[in-house]
Amino acid sequence: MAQTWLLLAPRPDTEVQLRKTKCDITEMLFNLFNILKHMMDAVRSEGHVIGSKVSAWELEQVKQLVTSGVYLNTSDFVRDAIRDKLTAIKTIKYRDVDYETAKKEVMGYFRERGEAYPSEIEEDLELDYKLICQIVEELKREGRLEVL
Amino acid sequence: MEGYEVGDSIHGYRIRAEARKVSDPQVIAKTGRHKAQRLILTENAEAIIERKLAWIPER
Repeated sequence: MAQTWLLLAPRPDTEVQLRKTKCDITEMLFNLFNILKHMMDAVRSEGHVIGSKVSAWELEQVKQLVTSGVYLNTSDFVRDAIRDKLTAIKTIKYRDVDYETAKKEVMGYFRERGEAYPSEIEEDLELDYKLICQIVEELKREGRLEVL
Repeated sequence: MEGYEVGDSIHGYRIRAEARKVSDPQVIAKTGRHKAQRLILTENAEAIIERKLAWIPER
């Protein structure tokens, strides 16, 4: 770093030196950017400690799994359990869309896919299930959808 | 049709259900080769039979 600052000293005697100084500035900025990126990554990946009470029986079972070599330690078990649970629970967040827009989206979905279950539409388009049921009923009345 | 009474049941190929709490599935052996899985939904549980729908192209 100190070397870089020395190179930045104002002594551009020749054109070559000036070009070298410009290159050094670019390199210095690039290094600075990398340092900042690593710092941000370190902050993001920093672990947090959480406390939770478990029964003696549960703790005993976890300890047995650790002893048998399935997990490295109790923390390893808890981390794995949290990851499993977060993967298992997938959240669907409904979008706030008016009826006409939702109907157009549902029609587009059917045009593209050909056939689908309402719950698939719910998941893919993030629309309220009851709203989808209303739209589907209307499309059936209009003769645009048929039940397989 | 909506059912709210104890003992009301629905039966279908595909049922969409939602509730506040859902139990893990448990395998229940019905007869020799007939096996099924059972789930218990609690708190604001609701289920509906779904059918696959197909788009009728405009002519």
